[in-house]
Amino acid sequence: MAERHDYHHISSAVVTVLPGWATSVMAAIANMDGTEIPAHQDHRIVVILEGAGARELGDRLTNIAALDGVVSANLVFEHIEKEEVVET
Amino acid sequence: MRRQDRIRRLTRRHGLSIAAALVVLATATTAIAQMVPALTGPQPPMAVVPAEPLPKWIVDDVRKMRAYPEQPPIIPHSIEGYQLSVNANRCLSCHKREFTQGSGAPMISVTHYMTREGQMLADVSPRRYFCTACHVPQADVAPLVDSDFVDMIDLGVEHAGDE
Amino acid sequence: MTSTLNRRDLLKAQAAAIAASTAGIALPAAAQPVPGGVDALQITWSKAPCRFCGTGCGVMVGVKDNKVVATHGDMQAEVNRGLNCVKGYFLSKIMYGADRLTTPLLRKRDGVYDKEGEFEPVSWDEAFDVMAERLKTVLREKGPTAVGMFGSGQWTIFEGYAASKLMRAGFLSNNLDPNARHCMASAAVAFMRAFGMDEPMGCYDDFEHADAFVVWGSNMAEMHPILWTRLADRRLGHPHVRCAVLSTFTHRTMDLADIPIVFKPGTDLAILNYIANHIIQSGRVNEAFVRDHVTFMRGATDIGYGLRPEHPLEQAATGADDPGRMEPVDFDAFKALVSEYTLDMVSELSGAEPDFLQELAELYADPDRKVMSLWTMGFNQHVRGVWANHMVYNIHLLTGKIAEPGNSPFSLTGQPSACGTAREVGTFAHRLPADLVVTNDEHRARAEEIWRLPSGLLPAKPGYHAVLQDRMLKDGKLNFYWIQVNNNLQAAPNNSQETYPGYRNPDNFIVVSDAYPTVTALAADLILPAAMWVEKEGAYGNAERRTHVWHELVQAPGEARSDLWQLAEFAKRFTTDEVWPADILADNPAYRGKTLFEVLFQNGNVDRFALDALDPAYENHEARDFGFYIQKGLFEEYAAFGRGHGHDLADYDRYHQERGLRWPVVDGKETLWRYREGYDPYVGPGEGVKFYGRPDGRAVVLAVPYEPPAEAPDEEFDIWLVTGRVLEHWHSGSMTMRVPELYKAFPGARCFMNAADARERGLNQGAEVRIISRRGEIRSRVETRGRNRMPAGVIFVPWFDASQLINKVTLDATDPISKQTDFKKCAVKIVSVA
Repeated sequence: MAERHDYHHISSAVVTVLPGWATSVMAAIANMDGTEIPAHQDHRIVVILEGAGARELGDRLTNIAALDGVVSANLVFEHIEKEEVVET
Repeated sequence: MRRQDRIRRLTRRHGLSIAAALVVLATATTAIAQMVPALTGPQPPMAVVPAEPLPKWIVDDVRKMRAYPEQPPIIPHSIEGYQLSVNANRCLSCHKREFTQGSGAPMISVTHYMTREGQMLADVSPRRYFCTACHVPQADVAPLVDSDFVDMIDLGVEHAGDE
Repeated sequence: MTSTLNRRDLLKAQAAAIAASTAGIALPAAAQPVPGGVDALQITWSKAPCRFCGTGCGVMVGVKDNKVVATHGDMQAEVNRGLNCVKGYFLSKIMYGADRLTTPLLRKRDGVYDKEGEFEPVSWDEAFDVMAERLKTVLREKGPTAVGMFGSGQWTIFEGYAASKLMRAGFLSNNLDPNARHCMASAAVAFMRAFGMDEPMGCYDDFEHADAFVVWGSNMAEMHPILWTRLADRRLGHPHVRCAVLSTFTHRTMDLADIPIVFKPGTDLAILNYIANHIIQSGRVNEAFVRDHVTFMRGATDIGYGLRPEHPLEQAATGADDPGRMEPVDFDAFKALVSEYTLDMVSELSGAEPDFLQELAELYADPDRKVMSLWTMGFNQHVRGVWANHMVYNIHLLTGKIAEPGNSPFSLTGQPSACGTAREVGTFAHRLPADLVVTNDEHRARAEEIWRLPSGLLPAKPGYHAVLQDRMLKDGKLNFYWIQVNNNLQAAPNNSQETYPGYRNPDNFIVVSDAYPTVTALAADLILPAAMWVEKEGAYGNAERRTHVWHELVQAPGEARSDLWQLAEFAKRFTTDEVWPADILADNPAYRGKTLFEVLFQNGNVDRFALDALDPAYENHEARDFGFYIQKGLFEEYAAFGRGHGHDLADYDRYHQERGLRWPVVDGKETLWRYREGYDPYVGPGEGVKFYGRPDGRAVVLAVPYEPPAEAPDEEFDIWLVTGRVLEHWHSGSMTMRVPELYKAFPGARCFMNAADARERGLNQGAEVRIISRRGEIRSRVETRGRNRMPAGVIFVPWFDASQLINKVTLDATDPISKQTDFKKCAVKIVSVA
C-alpha cells in the first residue's frame, strides 16, 4: 500500500480599499491564481485564497496589500487540509 | 517523517448521536447511578476513593481531524519537558516555517503571524508565542461522558455528487 | 474523489461566510460555491462573551439547526481581537455533555418527597410546589434569617439582579451571597476602603502602555491566557519592558519572568511593605501626588482568621472584634511602620533572593517606568487579602503610578461576571446595586424607591456570607437553601466537616439549579435543570468594567430553564401576605394580595418593554413566557441605580450592537481610565486627579504589618498545601470535564510535588498518596515533572476534579475583613498508599 499526500490551504481575507478603488482592486485580485472573490460591498472585499502552502498564501496576501488603493488586507480564516491519494 | 492519519472522516454520524440520546432518555435515577465519580463525586460524597494512575500521553503522531475549522489542532505527541520560555521555544523549533521542511511537522498557521492590529509579520507574533495556551496534548483515556456535539457536516449539508 | 472536491467547496464556503460575517456583508447567492448556496450551510454567526473567566473575550458563535457547531475568537472584540484560549476554542462543546439535566429531580420515597429518598423526575409544577411549601414552612417557623441563597459570578446580570430582588425584597433575607466571596471579596472590599468605589481605575489598554508588569499571586499564563498574550506581546515586542512574577511556586507564568520570585506562603505582605520602604528610603515618593490625592490610615491588627468564634486562634486575637477598623495617621507613622521591612529582614522572612527583591522594588521606584500590577487568588484567597490589596495600592499611590495609561494596579477576576453580577449588581450579603449597602438607611430607601416598594421593607442587617452560610446550615439555623450556577460542595473549604453536613442536615431543604449533575446537585434534595450560556439572553461584566450582552442562540434541552425563568416563575407562588410583615402591608394596602412576581417583576419598570421590543432575529423564551422583554426591563431598572453616580450604563439595546462597553458610559462614551481628568467625565476641568468615591477625594494608604497565616506546617503536618486551577478546566470542571479534548488534556487532579520531598518520603513519580490534614484526606498521584515546579515543602493540588475533593483537606479560615477563604495556605502530610 503506497500513499502520498500534500497539504492544501484554504483561507479567507477581508480587503479594505479606498473609495473609488474597488473595481480596479477586484480586477487585479481576479487575475491572481487560486483566488476568488465570493462577495464585496462598498469598500470591503471578501477574498478566498487557496494554495499548497502558507507561505504561498502569505505572499499572495502581501501582494494584495501592496495593490494601489488597498488600505488593509487581513486574514480571517485559515484551514489546512491534507490532500491524499491512497493507492492500494 | 511522522505518519499521518489516512482516513478522511466525511461519513455521517447520525447513528452515534442517536445512541447517545438514548442514554439520556433512560430514567433519571438510573442515569445518575451510572455516572462517573470523577464528575459527580464518590458515593457517599465525602468518601476517600483510590486515585486513578497518571495516564499516558497519546504519542502516535497521527493528526486528528478538528471538530470544526476554527478548533486549534491538538498535539499528537508528548510535550513533557519541553522548554517554553522567553529564551527558548521547543515547539517552534519544529513547527516554525523555516524548520518544517527538515522536521516534517505541520507549519503553524499564518494567522499566527498576525499582530493584534491585524498586520502580518515576518515571524510568529509574540501574542502567539505561548503555544500551550491553545494547543494541548491528549492523554490516552476515554472521555468521561459522551458528548452530543454534532459536526456541522452531519447537519444536512447536501454534497454535490451525493446520490 | 468527489467527496474531496466537495469538502473543499464546503471549506471555501465556510471561509467565505466567516470573512463576510467579519466584514459585515452578505454573500450573494450567485457567488456561493456550495450547491444550494452558502444558505445550505445555514450557519448563523452571532457574538457572545466567553462563558469561562473574567477576561471577557468576545467569541463568534456559529449555530446550525438549533445546535452550536463552531466558535471562534471575535476579531472585532477589543479584549481578544480574534484570539481564544483552549477553553474558549472549545466553547462549542460545553453544552453537549450527554448527561445534561433535562427535567427537575426530587428525592422521593413512596411517591412523596423524602430527604433520604432517591432522585425521581418530577414536573416543574411539582418541584415548585414542594419547594414553595418548604420555604413557607421555614419562613413561618423561623423567619427570613433561616432562608438563604448562594449564587455566583456566572449568573447573568439580570439573574443576579432578580435573585437579589427576590431574596431581599421578596423573602426579606440578606442571606444571599455569590461564590465570588471565595474569589475576589478581598479585592472588592479593598477597593471600597481605599477608593470608595469598587473595581479597577484602569483597563486592559494598560497592557499596551506599561513598561513593567508585576504579577502577584497569579498564574496568568494558565488562568487568564488571553490577557497573558497581551502581556507577552508587549514584553516580547518591546525589549525595554520587564516582567516580575511572584508566587509560592514556579509555574508557567514564570516562563516570561525577568524577575522570578518564589516566596514562603503569606510573606508577600512583608515584600509589599519592603517595596514601600524602599521607595521612601530612596527618596522616590511622588510628593506632589501624595500631598494632593492621598490620605494615610492605620488598620486594626491581630484581627484573627475568620474561623468559628470558639476556635483558640479567634479567642486569642485581640483585634478580631473590629477587624476592619481604620484610623487616620500621617505619612511619618506610615514611614515608621514600613521602616522595619528592610531588605535583609524581608529576604530572610520570605526566602526570596535579595537581588531580585531589589530589582522588583526598583521597577516601582523608578519614576520613568510605567508599572502595571496584576493579581488574583494569591492575594485575594489570603487571610490578610484585604491588606495585600491595600499594600499594592500603597505602592502605586506613593509613586503616583495610578489611573493613567500603563500605570495601573489591576485586580483580575475569576468568573465571567464576578464584576458585572456579583459586585456591580451587589449579590453579596451586605450589598445593593452600584456600590450601595444594606446597612445604610439612605441606600435602602433608594432601592425601595427604584423598586417601587413600600418604605422600610428591606432588611438592614447583612446576611450570612459564604462560609458562614455553610456553618449555619450545619448548625441548623439556615434551613432553606437555593444554590444556582455554582458547585459549592466541591468549591467550599473544609467541605467534609462544614459544608456537606449542612446539606444533609434533616432540618434543611437544599435546592440546586444546574445544567449538569455536579457533586453539589447530587447532595441536594431538589435539582432544577438549568439553561446555560447562549441558551438564554444574557449579560456579563468583565474585570475591566466592560458590560457585554448576548442573544439566545439555541434552545435549552428538554425542560431545562434559565435561572432567570426559575426565579421569576417561583416568585408567582408567594403573595405579599405570606411573606411581608403585617404592619408594612397595613400602611401600604395596595400591595395586599399581590404575588411576589407582580410586585417585583410587574412593577411598571421590569415589564415596561413589550414583546415588540425584541429583535425578531432571535428567540427569547423568558420574554415569551412572561409576556414582556424581562431582560431589558430588569437591566434598565438596575441601570437607574448607577446613572449619574459614576456607574452609568448605556441603553440596553446598544449593548446588542457593541462588543461590550466599559462603564461609566456617559454621553454614549465609555471610560477607559477613571479618576483622571481628560479620561473620566466625573473629573472636572482643572481637577487633575480626583478619587471621587471618597468624600475627601483622596485615596487611602494603609499602614498594616505582616501577620502570619492561620496554619503553618509543623512536625506532624509538615508540608504546605496550595490549591488552584489549571488552564484546561474552569469553575469546578463541570463544563470543561465534559469536553473530551479538555478532559484528555488534563484528565484528573494530581499532587504537584518537589522531587526531593518525594524522594524523602520514598515516593516515585505517579505513586499513589494520601494527602491528609487535620480536617480530612484525599488520595492523589505524585507529579514531580509537570507544569508546576514546587519548591521544597510546598505541594499544589488543583480542585477541579470531583474524584479528588481537595477541599476536604483545606481550612475554612477567611480574611476577617472580606470573609474570603484562604485556599492557599494550610498544613498537610503526605503518606504513601502502597
